[in-house]
Amino acid sequence: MFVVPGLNGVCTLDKDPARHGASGGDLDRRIAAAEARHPAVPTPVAGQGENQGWAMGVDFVGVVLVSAFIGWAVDRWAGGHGWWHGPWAMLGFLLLGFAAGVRGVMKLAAKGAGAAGGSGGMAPLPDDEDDD
Amino acid sequence: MANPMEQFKVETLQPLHAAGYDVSYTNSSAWMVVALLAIAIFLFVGTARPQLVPGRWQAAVEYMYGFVVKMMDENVGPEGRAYVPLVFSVFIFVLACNLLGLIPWIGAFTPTSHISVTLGLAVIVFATVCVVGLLKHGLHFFSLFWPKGVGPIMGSFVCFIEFLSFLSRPFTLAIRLFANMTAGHVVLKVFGTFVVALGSIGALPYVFGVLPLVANVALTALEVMIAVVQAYVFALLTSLYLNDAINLH
Repeated sequence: MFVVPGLNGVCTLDKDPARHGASGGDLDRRIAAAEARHPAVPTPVAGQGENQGWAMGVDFVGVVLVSAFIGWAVDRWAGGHGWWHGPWAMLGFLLLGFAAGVRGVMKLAAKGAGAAGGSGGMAPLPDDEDDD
Repeated sequence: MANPMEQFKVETLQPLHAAGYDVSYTNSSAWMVVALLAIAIFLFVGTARPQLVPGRWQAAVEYMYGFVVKMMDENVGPEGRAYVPLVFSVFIFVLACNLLGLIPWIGAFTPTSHISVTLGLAVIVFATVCVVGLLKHGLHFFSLFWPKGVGPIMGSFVCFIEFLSFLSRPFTLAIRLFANMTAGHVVLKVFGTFVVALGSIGALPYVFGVLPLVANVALTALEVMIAVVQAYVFALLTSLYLNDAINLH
């Protein structure tokens, strides 16, 4: 039983045995023909922009927090040796994490602008990464 | 007013201790078992009597499996087929936990709304990526962090930054899923209390109480979408990270 999307959105059941023959290539050909008659229209997915915003925010905050934590751990480890003072490693790693976060957001924005046709978006970064 | 965070409370059902650690069987564990049973029934029934022309159930199983295979083929390539079992397991487990937690029965609980669960999953993914990358490429794996066309000084700086963002991957992966699930369930519960609170005041209880109820119906639909989308995002990012490890650039 093969369901064909008919006109006016009505699904019609194709019960004609002649068109149900054992010829395997026939089905592929008819699917291709049906797809040519009804070209796929790219529909905007609801919440896509929201998802992208979430992704940027989470990536940015995450990398800053993880970097600061690494710096804090370095401080804690080095502080036991007497010659190290202050939260300098944490501060340094916080700044590095900020840089990493901005880099990540720029990459994501460049990718999003490319996908959206590049209208009004950021210029894509030089392709120095694995973002394919 | 009911506490909107009460639904996330982990309750011990059977206290267990192993090697000084508290490994009690909790309602979170119970719901993960329920999710596993649901997945097992779904897959076993779907593949019990395979037909050349699949029935509805078999078609659903085949569609989900084909979805993951297609995602791996697109993002990783032919070598990604070996990792389809991992990605499919992660995807269907997160999806089952998300969706089962949305059904408002008594004692409902969403394991993926706890960062310990999502971080556990993310660490499995991260460890797999590291092990696969190191086994496949050896120390050459670290060239993943080196930017192309940059001098040695700037390169080492960017390399370090890239390494930091690589280290943050399991955390961002975990936080994204956990935050989405927690936020969604809090919003649903808050609007649920609005229904009761607004429905019990004034001369027109039904007028005021109906508004948050309508909002809650719409939000439930949104949460179903988020549950599916977040499971997809988790699996998609897993495949992208695996692509880094397998193909480097």
